[in-house]
Amino acid sequence: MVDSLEATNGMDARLAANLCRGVVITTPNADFIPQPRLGTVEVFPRSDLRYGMDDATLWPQFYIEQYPHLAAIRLNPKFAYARYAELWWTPLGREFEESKTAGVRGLGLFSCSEMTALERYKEDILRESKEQLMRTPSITISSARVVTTFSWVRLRYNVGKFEEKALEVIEFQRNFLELRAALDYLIEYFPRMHSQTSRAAVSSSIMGCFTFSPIITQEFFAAGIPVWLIRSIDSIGTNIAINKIVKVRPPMAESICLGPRPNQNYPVVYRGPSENPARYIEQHKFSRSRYIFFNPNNGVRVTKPTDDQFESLEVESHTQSLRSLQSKPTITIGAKPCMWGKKTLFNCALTKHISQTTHLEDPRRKKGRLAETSS
Amino acid sequence: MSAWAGALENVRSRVSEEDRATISFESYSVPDPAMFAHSDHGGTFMKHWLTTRESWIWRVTRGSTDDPSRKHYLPTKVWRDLLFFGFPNEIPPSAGPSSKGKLSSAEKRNRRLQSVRDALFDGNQELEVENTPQLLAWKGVPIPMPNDEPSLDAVEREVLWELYEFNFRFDLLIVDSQLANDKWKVGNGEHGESLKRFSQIGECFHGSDDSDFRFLPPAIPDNNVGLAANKLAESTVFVLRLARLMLDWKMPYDKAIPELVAESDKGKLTDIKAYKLTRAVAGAYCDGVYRILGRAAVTPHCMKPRVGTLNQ
Repeated sequence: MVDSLEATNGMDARLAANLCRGVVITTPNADFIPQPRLGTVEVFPRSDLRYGMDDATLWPQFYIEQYPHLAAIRLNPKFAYARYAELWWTPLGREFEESKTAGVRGLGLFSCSEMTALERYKEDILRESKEQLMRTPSITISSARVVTTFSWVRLRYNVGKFEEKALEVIEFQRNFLELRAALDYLIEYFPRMHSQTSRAAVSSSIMGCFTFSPIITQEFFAAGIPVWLIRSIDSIGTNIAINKIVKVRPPMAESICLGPRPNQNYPVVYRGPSENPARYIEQHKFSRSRYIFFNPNNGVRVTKPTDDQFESLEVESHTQSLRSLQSKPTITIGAKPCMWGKKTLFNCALTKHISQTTHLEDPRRKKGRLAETSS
Repeated sequence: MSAWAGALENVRSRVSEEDRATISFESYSVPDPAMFAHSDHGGTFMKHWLTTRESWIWRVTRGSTDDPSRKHYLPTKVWRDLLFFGFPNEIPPSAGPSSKGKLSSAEKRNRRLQSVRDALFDGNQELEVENTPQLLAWKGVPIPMPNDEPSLDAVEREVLWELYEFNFRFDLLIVDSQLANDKWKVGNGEHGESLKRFSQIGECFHGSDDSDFRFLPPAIPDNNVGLAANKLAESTVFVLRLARLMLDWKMPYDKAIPELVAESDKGKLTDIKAYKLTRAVAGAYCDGVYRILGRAAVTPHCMKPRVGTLNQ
């Protein structure tokens, strides 16, 4: 069964899981099926200052055309002495060293072994990315390199309050991981996608992504990137082989924090459909607004909701999403993004994806069949 | 640096009366280094600056979501009081106006210092004024204190250079964001315009190619570098980058700037033309500062004396 994946370029399923009635998630190469983030979401720094399930360094995200490399973000190595383990370090108060020359108490920098490790990683990746840019110019890599540099310099040299510096640590880690992923994607994974040689073994040390597109599924399968295809059950029919049915795996509480940061009032940086690229773009804007010392645009953000609003919103939107998936797919071209409190937004966007992707004939599969027929 | 000194001389006459009328008050992000030189209390100023420098730099560089052009600036007279009296941690409680309803000069000063304290601590409950004597240090090294008085001779030059450079860089950010505001729009996606513009401004300074380049506070160089480099060939690289930024400024500037930038693109910039460009760029910068901040510009300075030339 699994062997037949080769024949269909990843359209067969190593694993499949029911998402809701009529909709399934399949994967040609991963050994589990994570729970996708669905519905209307609110993105804001959680108790560990990361974005919970909306954080590309913690949990697989939907494929975004502008940022395909997010799927190549490395996974947390989980054990403390592994290389890059410090990139998931969450700073503590005892690691904060107050300045004795600031005139006030409460300003300082982090001084600990994790910072030393981060500095070493930073040196290595800036050198590597510079060499790569000299070989092949890339806006994605040069941009990621710039923000990694900015965030490091600010973290390393400018004193600040504990909370500010802790947020800077997380932002540097995220920038670093994105730059690492962009390099890996460009050098290692992208060339494999259209390679004529045999498919690559799946990499178990990178994040992977969700997609509605059979083409992306096939490309990522060829590259060895874990990929999960959300599809209508009708698209499976009798031609798609499924090796095993499993249940979707929700995030473990010990690895992803979902609660808000105590005693802090961080803004919601994005509110809307989970598969909208703006969810990720707004995360960038939130961190990058601090690198230039002032805000030239006087940006206004939505205010953080109260805890009960937050809970009710997520429960409601998730229920909506599932209900919408169960309904008969309808194509709504040009559906506008979700608004706060509206109930149909996610339905439009997701059903459009499913309708378009699952009923389309993938050109490469068609070509393969034609070749078989002619031979 | 004579090009920059010359640009400062005539700035007032180059800005129209109409534009001058919109100028509000003279203010600086960190103290104007000229205050140290023109006061009999230079040593006291220096001591108080060094004990509070980090917190002021934090205040300026941490960003703000509103009023970008003024938030980080303090009037000269407040800086003077602050540097003379020290950090506002021991301000006596105000007695209020006299029976005639007028405030004494001491009262006015106290109120000014209190407003400074509020500006620094407003909304920052977790910060606390340090009441114990502060360690006097420069670049992380304690300053010797023979007879309980700091020996500042060894660090004075670097401290003043940092103040000149800090003022220049921060003013350039603010002036550019006002005069070329369309270049600072936050873009959708990874190539945000504001970051791109910020990077271009950073490239006007020595060391911007380094992985540890610090825009603010600037790293202290050993020699004359960047716009203040001893050799024209070295400084022209940075002058040209600044000139390219100025092409986006919405204000009148010397036509020599676009002409000489174009000539440079063709590889024809002679030393004489490079000096002419430096003068035009210095003039445009001083005009820009006068229009936006309402005062004379703080210009780039040399770290070391130049042999055979006058230094600012």
